[in-house]
Amino acid sequence: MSRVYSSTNRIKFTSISETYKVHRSVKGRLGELHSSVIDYVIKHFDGTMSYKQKVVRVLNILTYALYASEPLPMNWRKTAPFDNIPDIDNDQIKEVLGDIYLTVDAIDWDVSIVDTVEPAPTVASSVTGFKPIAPVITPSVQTHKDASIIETPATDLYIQAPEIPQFDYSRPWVQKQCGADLLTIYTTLPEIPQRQRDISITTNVTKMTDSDLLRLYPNHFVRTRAPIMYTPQTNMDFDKDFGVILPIDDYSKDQVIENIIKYPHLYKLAREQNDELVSFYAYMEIDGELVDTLEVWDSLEISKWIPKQVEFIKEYIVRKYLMDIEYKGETFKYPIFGTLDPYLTLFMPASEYAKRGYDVIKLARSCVQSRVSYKQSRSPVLRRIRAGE
Amino acid sequence: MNNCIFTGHCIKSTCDQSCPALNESSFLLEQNGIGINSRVFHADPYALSKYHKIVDNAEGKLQTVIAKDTNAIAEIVAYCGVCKYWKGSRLHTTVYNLRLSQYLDNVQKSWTNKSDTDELEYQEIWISKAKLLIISNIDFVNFKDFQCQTLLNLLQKRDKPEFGTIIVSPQTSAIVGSGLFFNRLLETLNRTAIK
Repeated sequence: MSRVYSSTNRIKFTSISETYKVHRSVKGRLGELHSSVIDYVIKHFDGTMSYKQKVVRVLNILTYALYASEPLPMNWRKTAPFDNIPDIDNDQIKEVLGDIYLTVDAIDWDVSIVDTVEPAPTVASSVTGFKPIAPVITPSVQTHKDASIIETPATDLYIQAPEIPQFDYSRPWVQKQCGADLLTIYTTLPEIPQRQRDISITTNVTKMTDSDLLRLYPNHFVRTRAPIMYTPQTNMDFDKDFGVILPIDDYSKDQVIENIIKYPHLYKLAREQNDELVSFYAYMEIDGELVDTLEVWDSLEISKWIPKQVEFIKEYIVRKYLMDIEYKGETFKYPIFGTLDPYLTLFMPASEYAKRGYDVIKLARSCVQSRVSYKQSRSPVLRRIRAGE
Repeated sequence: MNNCIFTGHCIKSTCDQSCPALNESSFLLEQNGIGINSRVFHADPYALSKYHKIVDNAEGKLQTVIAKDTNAIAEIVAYCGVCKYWKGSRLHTTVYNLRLSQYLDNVQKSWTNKSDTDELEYQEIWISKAKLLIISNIDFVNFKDFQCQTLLNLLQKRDKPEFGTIIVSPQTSAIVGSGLFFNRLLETLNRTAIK
């Protein structure tokens, strides 16, 4: 079926509410709905393919809702048209809309890119510190919680690439000729991450609104540590939410818990030794020298309390290292390779963080920044490009 | 090193031509005619998620995806398949998008030439070995007895618990054909269509 609007017969975005050829019985109401989308997009347009796709999808869904006489969700608002939009199968939409189905190519995007993205109007975002005395749980947080019919899969929190990687080939994020190789990193999609796993080297946190950030939280507690850490052990404290609290030198239980909240998942950590990357846990740095962990473990006082099992040893070594830096200001000759900033993984619902005194917007922003930094500092392509600069 | 689909997320210690992720994924993409500038890489995320689920549940089944733009959807299904099956594929064609009209042409040409071309031999191998076979271009075929029988035989060969087969078809009313086996083919497509 040929479409009314195509790349050769485009419709101006700003006049969709007036000129879009729809059945007269829905024209008035649809014009009103589309007009609210246009108003919103004019204030937030970032010019990216993913954003345009999102806009087109919302426009088509609104048309579909009127054509198919399906009511819009009660919590859908004209002021935030992208939120709470029903998930309708695209083929079904195409079927109902027929020749008036819109695509990104069929629209003449006569809108200017907005440099700074305003916070979404539905979300309170004025808190500045990490730990306000009385954190406010925003309406969006509550909505997020209410919408938790399907539990967030643990895979959404992974650091590794999404199962189906996507990128915009027309927008290289960085490109450089290095020797015989033209090294290119394309802007990954979705440009606004829908889950923590989508965050990539190219993610730009400044383009994310508060509601985008809130979407990154899982809707339930996700166990990010090794399974054995969630089984009570003799001689060690246990917290029902965080699992085993390892005794780490003279640090308090609260300090260890805080460390677990900051670094809930310790993934692929390494350090450089003789220009080679070695597993961070395989060695311990003692008096500026790297020694084989297994060779010295039995001689350490802590070995009386912590089982000689790989997961416990790993956690002890990394957490002690991080806490020595944080609380004692120690520096190491063989630091972790790449960055490891706090809150790399958000493993609790936003409301749980808020209960513990965290500013959930700022925390989610830290998560994005930590992940971007984690990936940028380890990316072999980016390292090569930067080394050649 | 270049044009790797994982570059934006990669944290490997080095990037070189021996990286399995690069080699195995690139090989499968190439086998399925998906170039780095393909539309699948910026396809509608909702469509991707839908076809990802279908691919995830493909093992041991024959499924028919009804689509208007069959080429585009077959490419998306193939990409979802590549993402699921690249790991450990050791440069074997574990995912193959069979353009049925081309395959049938090759079979008929082999009769005229009295020998199989290399392309046909490879197609036969991939049809019988791919973990996920996508069958597309069926809207470019006039289904008479030979075409119907060839496709039905092929589907029968694929009927193994470790294999998945997905036909990407237009509405069955739009498929052109006639003859004794045509109804049988339509019945198979309708029975296996994903609602």
